[in-house]
This record gives sequence, structure tokens and C-alpha cells, in this order.
Amino acid sequence: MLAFLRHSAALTRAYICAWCVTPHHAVLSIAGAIAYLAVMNQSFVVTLTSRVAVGVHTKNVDIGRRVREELMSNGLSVVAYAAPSDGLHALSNGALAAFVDIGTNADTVTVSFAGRNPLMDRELANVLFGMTARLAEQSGSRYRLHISGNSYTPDAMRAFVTANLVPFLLLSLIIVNCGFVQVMACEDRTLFSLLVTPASRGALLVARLCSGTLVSLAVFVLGYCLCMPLVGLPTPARPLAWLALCILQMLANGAVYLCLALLIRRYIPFAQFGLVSVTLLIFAGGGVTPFEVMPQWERIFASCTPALYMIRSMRAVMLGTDAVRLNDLAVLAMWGIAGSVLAHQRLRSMVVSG
Amino acid sequence: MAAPDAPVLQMHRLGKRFGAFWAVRNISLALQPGTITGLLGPNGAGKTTLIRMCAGLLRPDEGCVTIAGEEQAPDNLRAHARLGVVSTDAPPMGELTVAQALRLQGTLHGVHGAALQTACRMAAEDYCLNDVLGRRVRVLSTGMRQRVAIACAMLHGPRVLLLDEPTVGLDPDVRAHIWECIRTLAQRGVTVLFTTHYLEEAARLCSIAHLIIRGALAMSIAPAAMDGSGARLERAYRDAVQQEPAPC
Repeated sequence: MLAFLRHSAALTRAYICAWCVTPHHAVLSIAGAIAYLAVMNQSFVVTLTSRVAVGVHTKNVDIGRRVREELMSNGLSVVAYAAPSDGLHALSNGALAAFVDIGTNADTVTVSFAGRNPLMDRELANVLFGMTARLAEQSGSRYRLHISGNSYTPDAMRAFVTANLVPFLLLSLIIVNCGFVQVMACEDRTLFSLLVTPASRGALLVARLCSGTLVSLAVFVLGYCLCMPLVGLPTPARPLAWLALCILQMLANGAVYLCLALLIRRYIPFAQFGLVSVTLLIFAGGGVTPFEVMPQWERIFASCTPALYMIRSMRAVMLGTDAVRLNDLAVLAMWGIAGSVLAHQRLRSMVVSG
Repeated sequence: MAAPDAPVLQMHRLGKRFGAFWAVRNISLALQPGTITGLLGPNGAGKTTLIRMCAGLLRPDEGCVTIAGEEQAPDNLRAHARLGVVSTDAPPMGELTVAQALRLQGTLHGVHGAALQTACRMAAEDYCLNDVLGRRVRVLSTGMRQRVAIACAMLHGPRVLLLDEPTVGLDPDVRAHIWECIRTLAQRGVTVLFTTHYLEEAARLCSIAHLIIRGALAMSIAPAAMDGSGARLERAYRDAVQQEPAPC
């Protein structure tokens, strides 16, 4: 056991040293992580600005003034229309993101969205429904309006989107630091220099997983910390649980991709497979299409991949609104264990078969 | 306890098959301590397969290899500990510095602390590596990398050293230095088994050379047959190769 730990530690140190002696690896990895977090956040998080125009039609001057003030306080531009048909025409032409038609006493409020960008519609709905609720309340008790489950403030929205992005950054980092380095060790045959030593296959596996996870974690934490002031990334609601979850996700995925690297053993096929698998996992995990709106076949597929559990648990620790489901963690751990066992078997059979 | 001159490396009816093709078949050899044994043969004869089985990188389909009484197998780490391997299949990790590569090999072979420091210092002196200890293995010349590989293989003081074409692609000076290293190791009691295509090298170095053709032992040439220049060995080699039917 002591020899196993010594071998694992020595190999982990060697792998990390090998990574560190080429500083461009570190610089490129951190720059890549920052670019990913910054660009993807800017793409997915919608910030309402004065470029977003909302059309308003009302014959009640007082209500019109209040609506304008409220919308402008949310950073939006407001365009008044004399007739509803003019506003709807502007909406269909793309000049407006939404159009609000308010009855004289605010007894009817019609909100129409352009429907071109669901992410923007979601943000706009947050503002417009809030405004509608206040108008209805002020107009009299008969028209009281209650809105629930629409608590996505811009900060919460950013945390939500970041929680979707982080698992795929972790996945990409671990594919590089566990999968690709293993494929290269197979290709340049340095793996064999270790297989002829008294180090066990288990020690080789543990060292590769630990070094890949440590390097990936360092890159990720540095990238995330640098991005926090740069693009306003949120501080996770449960930081320690978040860090532990990141490590679990990297270990689980590291084992799976290490196993695949030992099966494929060549750089280009592994690169192609890695790219396809990450794309599939993004869709399967609900990163783009929410799990709730997936068709039945896609739900079954999603349940069979680790991505669904990665995203769901990441959302829980980043938003802090839900408890982390234990079965999500269990599924991730099982993926990791299965990957490790298969990788160990593969490492043995590689030697036996040559 | 084994007798001092008992064979250290033994192959007993060794065979390896890839699909229907037997790469090595029915080879039995016994190597005494402090001897240098060469494996000769044309390309594809099975020399590297034989070395890989001895190194524990391949599991034989027939027979077995024992190293100082320990049966060799990919999982038998005790047998691995008694071996040093220098192979084109197993170069040291190129991203490490020479010092790091030496320390890693030592640690993996159970050498620690002060003993590791001493072993690394001696290896650096024996193989003239003091000037390159801080340089990455990948950026060294082929000859220097080969010296690093031998130093790594010998760091833990193994009883058997396996070398797969150790001087291929090296200039005459570096080859001569590698030969000198191998001779010194044999004088210290290390059993050396190596493959080569250079008949002159085999004639100069080997206590005995075995010619392998189509996976089988075709001829063993006694030291008396060697004349140092390799001319007699070359004649014997040509005769043996010509007697074999041409490959399809």
C-alpha cells in the first residue's frame, strides 16, 4: 500500500512537472478558460439596454407616464404609439422587442413579444409582468394579478447560465488533461517506459487522474477568478460545495475519458470523438433545451448520460435555490467508478495483447 | 539460494502468436550472470517480441520467462523490479528534465531518500549526464537520450538489462561509448540481452549471439566464432539466412 501511494505520488508529481515545464500550456489553458466563460456568458446572458425598445399604447396619460418611467428605470427604450396596429406593425418589422397595449383604466393589458429570442423574451417578461402586476394592483381590487415563479433577476439569470457553462468547461479541461495526454503517451510510447517498472497499473491510473484533475482545477479556478470582475461572473451560493462538485465532475469525467483514450489510443480519432461527444452532451444535458421540454426519447437519452446530472447539480450549488440531489452525485460517482475499472482493465489488456 | 552461476534470465519454450501468425515459437535460452547475449535476425524475425516478453510487456502464449527465479508477467511487479529495459518502445518521458526522469525511475523502483540522491549522482557521472541534468529529455540528441535511457534503466541496480537496438541511428563515437557502458555493466555482474542488426556490434560485445529467423532459434554462435571484426559472424549469418525459404 505504501509503495502504491509512493508510486502514485511520484507519477502525479512527474505528470504535473511535465505539464509545467511548457509554460505555454498553462497560459493557453487559462486564456482558453477565460475566453470560454467570457464569450459564452456574453452570448447567453441577456442584459436589457436602451437598444431594446418596447412599444406602448394607452389613452390614459397618467398610466402612460408611469409605464414609461418604470420601463426606462429598467434600462429600456420606450416608444409610444397612437394606435395598437402601428405598434404591432413595428413589432412585426423587428423595430420593437415587445409591445404593451393598456386599456384606459388598466382593466386590460396585452403584452406581445417579438418571439425572436427566447432568452430576451424571458428577461423582458420579468420586467413587463412586474409592471403589469403593479398597474393591475393600482387600478382596483377586481383586477388584482399575482405572478409567481418568475424570479429571474439579471444576477440569477447570469448564475443560471454560468451553471450551464461550467460543466462543459470542466469537461473540456479534463478531456485535454486526462484524455489527450494519455493518447500522446500511447502514441509516443512513453507509457511503456512506465509499464516496465514495478509501478502497478492502479498507480498509473490514479496518478493520471489526480494530475489531470489538479491541473484542470487550477486552470478552472484561475480562469473563473479572473473572469469574476471581467464579465461579472457570480460567486456561487455554496462555494465549498461548488468546489467539491467541480472536483467530483472532473474525476468522474476524467475516468471516462481516460478509458476512451486507452481504447482509441490515437490523437486524431480521439480528438474527433471528443468533439462529437461534448456536443452531444451539451444537448443531452439540458444546456440548450431544458429537460422539461424534451421529447420522451430525448429524456431517456439524457438520463443515460452524465451531463444531465452534471448540470442539475451545478445549478443547485450555484443558484442555491434547490438542494443537491444525492442520486445525481451517486450517478456521477458511478460513471467515475465504471470509467476507472474499465480503464484499469484496458491498461492490462493493452499490455497483454501488445 | 541459487548458485552464483545459475542462469538469471531463463526462457522456456517461449511462444507468442498474433492471430494465426506465430511471431516467436519454441525458444529456450538460459543467460548466465555477467554475460552479454545478442539476438540477431532479419526484420520481423521476432527479436523485439522476444524482448517484450522478457520485459513483461507481452504475455507469452506458450512457455514462460523467469528472472532470478521469478516468473515474468505483466502483473508480476517483483519480476519488473529485477529488470532494466532500454527500448525504442519505452523512451523516458520527454517533458521531464534528465534529473526528474532519473528521480522518477528511482522512486518507481523503490529507491528513496539519500539512496536515491546517491544513485542519481552516480548515474549522472557514469553516463556523463552532469551537463544536461536540467535539460528536458525531448530536446537532447539521440545519443544523449539513449544514455539517459540506460541510466534510468540501471539506476536501481537490476540484475538483468534488456536493450532493444540500443545503438540504432547513433554516430560511431556514441556507439562506442554505449558499448563501453554495456561492457562495464557486464563486468559488474549484470546480465545483458540485446537485439541488434549490426553484426560488428554483436561480434565485439557478445559472449554469445543467437540468430532468430521466422520466430525460431536458427543458430547459436559461440564466442570462438567471433573474430572481433564481425566477418566470420556475417558469413555464418548469411549462410543461415540463405538456408531459410524466402518469405512469400
